[in-house]
Amino acid sequence: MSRSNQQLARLIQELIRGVKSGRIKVRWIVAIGAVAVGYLLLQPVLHRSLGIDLPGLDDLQANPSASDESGRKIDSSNSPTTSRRTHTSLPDRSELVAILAGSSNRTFTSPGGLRYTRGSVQGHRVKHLMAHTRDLPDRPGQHGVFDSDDPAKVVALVDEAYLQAQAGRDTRTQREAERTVYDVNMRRRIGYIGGQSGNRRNKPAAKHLRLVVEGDRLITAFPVIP
Amino acid sequence: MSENDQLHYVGICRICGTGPLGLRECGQCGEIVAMCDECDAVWTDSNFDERPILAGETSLPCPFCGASLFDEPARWASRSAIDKLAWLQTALRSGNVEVKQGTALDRRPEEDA
Repeated sequence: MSRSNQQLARLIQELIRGVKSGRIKVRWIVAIGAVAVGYLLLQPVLHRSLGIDLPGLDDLQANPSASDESGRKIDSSNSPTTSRRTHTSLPDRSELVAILAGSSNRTFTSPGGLRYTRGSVQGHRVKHLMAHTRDLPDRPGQHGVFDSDDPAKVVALVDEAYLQAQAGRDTRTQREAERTVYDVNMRRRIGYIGGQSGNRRNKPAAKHLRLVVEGDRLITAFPVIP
Repeated sequence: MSENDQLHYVGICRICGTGPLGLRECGQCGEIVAMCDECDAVWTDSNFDERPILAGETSLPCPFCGASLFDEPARWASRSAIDKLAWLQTALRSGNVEVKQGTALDRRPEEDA
């Protein structure tokens, strides 16, 4: 049982003892219950409509193990419970700079195991990714923009999301043919929404990262409000 | 902003959820397809519910002649080119799609870095 679940169990035991001894009136329990139910109903609505990220039921769950895409159990007991981040190392900056400068067209493999190959209208998936480090106010729809424009930091952030998605944590997954689209809740601001849609809404903050892959090959990744 | 950064688009890609479906003209055979500016999914007509054509490991061949849709001389189609596009004109008449204009994702972001 996680620490937060233990605390919850202790609180319930205290309340039961209070009711039995007559210290706490039943109507107070009912009122607290009604407030708790109201909060749990309101929390996802506030998150969806206003982007307010309050703790929900999933934050109380122990998450002792998760499944990867093949259904294998992944033991997360070694991961730090005090932090939700999956730590990834920074990639080789010189290789990224060479690709961005056009002096290399080689496939780049990130420390997290994602492959960035040639391809896209930009010529290389690294270049395509970095097209999401500045706003394009006239680009149709949502254009996700990363807060950082440092290629090593952006690649490390995508790695973090990829590892989190593989562990099935705070991730919504959709598949079509060979393609997998992950919406990963990073639980912190990673960028904002630009483009025509974002600029109409005063560039709202984005805490989710949408990651489109085919196997271990990155197609695109960008901040998004799902 | 060059003319090649302007794209005419016919909707938003259902695969990646944010990319505009730009009208992409093959530089070799001149055929025009709908191609997602974000995830490169391609449709050869307005049946966007159908399974798209996806890019290979490093290339996206034109479904008609095999030339690259990524590299020049492939380009975002001009207004005059799409005005002659039969499948699009049929879809426009039936009210299935609408053509809008916007900016494409930067072709060479490193030039501004």
